[in-house]
Amino acid sequence: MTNKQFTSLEEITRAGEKFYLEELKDKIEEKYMGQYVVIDVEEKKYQIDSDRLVAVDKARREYGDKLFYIVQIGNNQSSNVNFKEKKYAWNF
Amino acid sequence: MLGTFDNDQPKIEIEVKGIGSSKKLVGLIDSGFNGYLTIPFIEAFPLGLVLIGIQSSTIADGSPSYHLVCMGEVCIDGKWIHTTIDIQPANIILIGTKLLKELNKTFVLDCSKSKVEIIDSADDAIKKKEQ
Repeated sequence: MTNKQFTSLEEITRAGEKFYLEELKDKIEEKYMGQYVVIDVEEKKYQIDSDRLVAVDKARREYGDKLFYIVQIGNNQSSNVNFKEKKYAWNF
Repeated sequence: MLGTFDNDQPKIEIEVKGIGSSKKLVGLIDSGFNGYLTIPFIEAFPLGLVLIGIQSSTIADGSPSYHLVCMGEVCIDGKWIHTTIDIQPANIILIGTKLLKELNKTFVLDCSKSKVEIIDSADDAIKKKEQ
């Protein structure tokens, strides 16, 4: 079975946030607080490092050149957000 | 290299390169920004920086914020580094402490004399003298 292909930044953001909040946050937050997690949303795989550049390099090496969803662990909003009401930084 | 103390803000010249051309930009050194570099869309796109993802964070009022993350090369005082670059809509260029750290640079600011300087860290300076 092939994984879902994400074609837009909004899809990547939505899927990455869902994966982080529902499957990853509780598992990694305590141990890796303040570090960066770089998520391959298609494969649901991730790399963690205290240096974002290192985490990105590891992710690109392991998963190839694709668009990742990046979070600084512990610096993410709660899960009860309404995506339709969000303001995206690039919609200026 | 010397910078400027423009409107009481420490600024230095950097060079940023994507897959295409490079461009010299003047950025504000933000000692409270522990990242690498933030540049506006208007500067990022013509340089051909490679988009690698989107980063989520929570801003001061608690609301979520998203910004694009690209890969590119940055030069300060003749030294290049391959790094992540944050892209924001706001028309401001911020140089973070992580970038200076990776380049082994020391930031000298004398507000009373309006002096801004980026110099090699002690270790690098010794190495250069030995060569």
